[in-house]
Amino acid sequence: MGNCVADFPLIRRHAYKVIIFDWDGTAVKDRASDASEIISVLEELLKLETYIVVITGTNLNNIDRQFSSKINGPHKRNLFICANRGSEVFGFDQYSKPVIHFRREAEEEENELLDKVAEAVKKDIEDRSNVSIDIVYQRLNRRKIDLIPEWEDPPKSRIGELIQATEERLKRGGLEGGIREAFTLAERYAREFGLKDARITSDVKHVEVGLTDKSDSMRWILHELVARSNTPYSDVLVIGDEFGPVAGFEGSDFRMVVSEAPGITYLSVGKEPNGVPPQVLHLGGGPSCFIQLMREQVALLRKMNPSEDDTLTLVEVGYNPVREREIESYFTVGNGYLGTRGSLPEQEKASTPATLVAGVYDRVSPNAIEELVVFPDWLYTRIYVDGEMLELKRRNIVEHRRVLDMSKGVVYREWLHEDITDRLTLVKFQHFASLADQHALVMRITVVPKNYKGEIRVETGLKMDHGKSPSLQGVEMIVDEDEGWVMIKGKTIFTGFEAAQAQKSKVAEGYIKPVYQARKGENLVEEEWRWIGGMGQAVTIEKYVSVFTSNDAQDVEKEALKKVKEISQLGYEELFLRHMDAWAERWSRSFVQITGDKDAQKWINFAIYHLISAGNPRNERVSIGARALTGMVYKGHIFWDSEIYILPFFIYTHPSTAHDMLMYRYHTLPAARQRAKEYGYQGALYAWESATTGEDMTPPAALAPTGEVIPINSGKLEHHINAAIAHGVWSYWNSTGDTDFFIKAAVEILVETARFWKSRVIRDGEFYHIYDVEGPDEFHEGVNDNFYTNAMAAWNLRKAVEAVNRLKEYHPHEFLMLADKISLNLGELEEWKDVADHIYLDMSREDGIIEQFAGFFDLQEIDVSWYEPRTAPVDVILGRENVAQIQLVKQADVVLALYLLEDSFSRDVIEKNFIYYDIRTSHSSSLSPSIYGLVAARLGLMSAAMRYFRRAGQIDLADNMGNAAGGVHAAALGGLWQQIVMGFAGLRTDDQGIWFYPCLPSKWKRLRFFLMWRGLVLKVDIQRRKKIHLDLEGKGSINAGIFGKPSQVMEGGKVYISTWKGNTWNEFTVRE
Amino acid sequence: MNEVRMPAVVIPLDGSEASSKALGAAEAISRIMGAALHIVHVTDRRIPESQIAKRLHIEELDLEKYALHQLQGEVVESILELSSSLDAKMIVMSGQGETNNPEHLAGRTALSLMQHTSIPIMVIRSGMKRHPDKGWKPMKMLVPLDGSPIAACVMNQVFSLAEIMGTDIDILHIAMLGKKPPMDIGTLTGPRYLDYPQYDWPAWVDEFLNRFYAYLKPEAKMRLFYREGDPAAVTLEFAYENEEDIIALSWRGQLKEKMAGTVKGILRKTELPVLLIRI
Repeated sequence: MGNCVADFPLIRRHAYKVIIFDWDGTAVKDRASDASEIISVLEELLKLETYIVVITGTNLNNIDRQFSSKINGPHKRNLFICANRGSEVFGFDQYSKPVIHFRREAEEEENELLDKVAEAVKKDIEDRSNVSIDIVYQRLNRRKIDLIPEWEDPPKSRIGELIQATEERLKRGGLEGGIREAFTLAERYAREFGLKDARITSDVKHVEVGLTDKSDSMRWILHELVARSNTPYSDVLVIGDEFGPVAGFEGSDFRMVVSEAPGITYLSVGKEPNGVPPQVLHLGGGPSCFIQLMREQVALLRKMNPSEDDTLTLVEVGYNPVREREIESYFTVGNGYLGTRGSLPEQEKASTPATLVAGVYDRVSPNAIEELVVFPDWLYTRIYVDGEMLELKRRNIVEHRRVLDMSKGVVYREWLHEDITDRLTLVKFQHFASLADQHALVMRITVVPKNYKGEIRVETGLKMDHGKSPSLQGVEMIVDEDEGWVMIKGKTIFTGFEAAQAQKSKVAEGYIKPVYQARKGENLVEEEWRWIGGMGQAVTIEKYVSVFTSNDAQDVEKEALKKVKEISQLGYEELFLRHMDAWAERWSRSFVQITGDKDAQKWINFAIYHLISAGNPRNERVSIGARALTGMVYKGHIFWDSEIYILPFFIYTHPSTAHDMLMYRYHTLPAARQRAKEYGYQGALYAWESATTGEDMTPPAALAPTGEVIPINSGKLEHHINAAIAHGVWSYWNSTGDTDFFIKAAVEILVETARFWKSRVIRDGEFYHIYDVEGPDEFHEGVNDNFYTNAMAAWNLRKAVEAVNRLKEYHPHEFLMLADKISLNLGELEEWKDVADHIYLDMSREDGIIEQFAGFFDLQEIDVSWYEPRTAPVDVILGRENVAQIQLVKQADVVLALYLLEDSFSRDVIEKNFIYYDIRTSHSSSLSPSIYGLVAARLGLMSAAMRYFRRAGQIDLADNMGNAAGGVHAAALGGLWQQIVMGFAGLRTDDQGIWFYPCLPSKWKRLRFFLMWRGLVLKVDIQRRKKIHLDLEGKGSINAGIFGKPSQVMEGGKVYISTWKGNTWNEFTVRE
Repeated sequence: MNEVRMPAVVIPLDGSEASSKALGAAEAISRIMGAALHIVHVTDRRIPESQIAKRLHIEELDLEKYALHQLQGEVVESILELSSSLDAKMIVMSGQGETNNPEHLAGRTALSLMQHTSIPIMVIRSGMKRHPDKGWKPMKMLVPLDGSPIAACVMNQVFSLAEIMGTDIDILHIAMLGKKPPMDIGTLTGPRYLDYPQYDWPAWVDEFLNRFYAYLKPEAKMRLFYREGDPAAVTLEFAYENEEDIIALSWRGQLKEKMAGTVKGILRKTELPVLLIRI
């Protein structure tokens, strides 16, 4: 016997649906004890829909006084009191008043016999000895023969003394056989007088003769509660304190052990001096152990239920087919390996189900561009009641509620369906894509007929998609009904991926034994479970699915099958707990906590949830596309967004994911080299839209519903993607100091991108120029000297020089190998430096305003506020050709340079340019608001910062735009995180260190987040205009400080504090 | 045995030449729908059978084939009661009647009927250059939609009518300056963000159409167009350019000042029958 919870770890990993326990000695020390603590815990369990059953020898009043009368509310209907040692069962009505469910009514003859037996025992003992015996008559269906009347109400804790005193009393008085003899006498007289099925028990003080005992309570519960709700026995927990023999008699709780219900768990928290029966696990610890166990159950159930923090949940009530596709995007569950849209399992008309596996692309025809393959829908499920399929129609919905718990990546759904004959069926779904095991997809389906008995049939399977996107081809449908699994195996046509998706479902053992079938159809494989369900009988089907592709297995079929068998063995709860733990771990390093602004908190939680879901730290061949794995709209293509907008979140919270995103770029270097060559340049030019190999996937044109054919020139002209990737590479390396990455990939990428710029520029007089180019502002194509592009190219060239020099100095051997591999000539470094020093950047007016590109100032002026309000972007209203002639900017362009290259500009220049471009920018790209908001925050322009923050936060979540129907805007989500951390918290990093200068909106009282920086974890806690706490975890030291002030050396393991004084932040001081 | 009633189309005629301008369309629609055409004339003085064709300007209509109802009482109420008792699929009527003042949006009876019926009502502007004749066969129906979910609700009726009439559906979404997007949950106006038009435009089209597909997948062919400008002017221009046959408008049945500006704008100048469908 040791730590009670440690001795029964299952209490932390298995949710019991029915918890049955003895009261005195188990839940409370005695009936005089203060029960408030245990009451509050049990009340929590009742609220969490656990059935709580008290089985007691005493009457209801005693339990009610101490316990049940203190609980009120609808949850009390989950409480049952089995009183009077098996003679009564009470439940509670909607008013929380007790109602009798069962009472054993003794016949008059039986009552007479009980009196007769008790009196015969008393007379026998008193005749043969000088021991006086009392009889307690006022007990339902039993009589208590009191062997020691002078000791009233002995506590259980003094059982040893009680045994000794009673035995001494009886033996000293002349009853040689003591308690045992009294017990035997009761048995004998009951038999002799013909009291059928007499229940003789003893609690030492008494020998009780009765018509019922605790086994009757157990049987009622098993029949009327467990069987009627079809609760598996494995979900029933029985706790007592006296299972083992006491004074030679079976313990008072032993009768709760019922042989006909195998699988029930029995625990004893009693002292059990004589041990416990083999069915019982002895924990000891008394009521304090009991309360610990109950607390663990509460904690477990809370963990498994949706979070109560509404900033961490998205809730959709009812059903509106109009919004269904955006809800599906929001409710995507993902683990980086794959993402599954939150479509309805029954695939309503409004649904667009999709499971997308990162990096698995195909083409719909040989000359088409690659797009993500839509894998079979593993949520697919149809439920039938007496042959009628349950459909989600407005007239059928009594209740329909879906919850995405972003803290743990789980979708919960509850649907109360009413058919035309008024039959009510409750259906519950839960599903998740395990973050702990990327190949494990898990779903749970529970069906409960609420007011009828009928045949329920659940078909659940893997259904092929036949939409516009590519799907698996050459499909083989495999079914093994004997082993109980189904599988779809197929391949992509043009990209050569193989894939297998296996499914195995099972039903928990309960009263109902559903019939199983497995089969294949034209475009699906499915498993079927069929049973006759009675009112209130819940049947839960657990569905396990595994996906493997040739990206991660040689024999996809074997691996998928092996995995699905393995995870089905582990079971739903275990997988769920591992998954939740994995999410908790990720959130613990990624959270951003905002005090004082719940909307902001929800927006950033949504962003972080989808970013975590999208990142894959286990595959160097994939990165994150524009809509991550939440929709097919952008075909899964990887843009510059990945490095400029999404990557920073991972660099600072999960560097291994950032590493793999950048290694994707390393592995696609050959295609980038080829592309540069095709365009007549040197080095590498990354694809504007990248997929499997890095070939450019940008389509040449688009057809707008205005009838206009829009030529798409970004693939040809937006070369700034090279600098974006270089920026990502450098930022990652600078933040992590990942030398392996630096040697293996970083330098090579920097060199090849620098080579491109060197060949891309044209010298005209003193300066190098980049002609016929397109910056982030895609309204102006084929311009000359886009400032952003020129400035980023210069930066790229300088970093390449720095990286090569560093490699040469610190890793000479690797330098030689790389130089040999890519024919690197040190003379190139001089050329790069020359270009960087002489690229045309002298584009400012006298007042400091930077011209976005050559000739921008000559264009017609515009103020976007002239076009407010409007129902469409300004550029759509004005038309493309007109837009090219005016100073309308699509998205952050110069302003993006002001952010990324901040140290190249004075504050005054940044502010002037921000204001200048602010009124000229339409923000027709979702990438734009967060960057404007970030720069505004750094400038302390808080009204503008918040205006942009609100806009950025609602790009997906505004429910009157339908923006997210095709998937969430991953870059905007990454931008939102950057606006908070780089903007409001004022984080800057450079070669030297890391700096802060927070400027929080007035509504935000406090901002907390974690960062990883050069091996340390920085816990940042900012109180608006009061304090910055910097808690450094880990070993080593870093340079850090307040932006604009001298660098400070800070050590891991210490806390540094800066205070706001006057109108600035003071330097940090170490907390003593 | 249940009585199987023939579907009904109702046309009110007040005896004016202007009101009879809708006769051709009513005949055509009832023919296409396989419906009985019910002519209703509300009058205090019953017209003898022998004179009725002349008095109602019915020249070619075969009175043997069509039902004629002469009713007494309040005009609008009587027409609505009859339409309701017939479970009429559509009311076809001229926008003008006896008063026939082209300055007015429509006649008093027409305006009142439009506002008080939930039955789809096809309004034929009496001043149109050409009025549909009985051989009219509409091929295309133009449906301007503002993207609000409530407007989308009428698509069920649009699909059903288009299917019965055998027309294709052209949906027109018009971006507007000077107007905020509807704030109703589920509204879809023009794409707020066009990160990359090659993906966002097709996605927007898909989503716009899917919202209507969610209610009912139409048998009719459906296309989506996007324009910018004043909704009434753009609708009329688009209808002309694309040779539409009917303009179908969803509306709330309110003609008060500052309400239903698009409906009013179209009714004033349309050269096509306008089908009003009540939200």
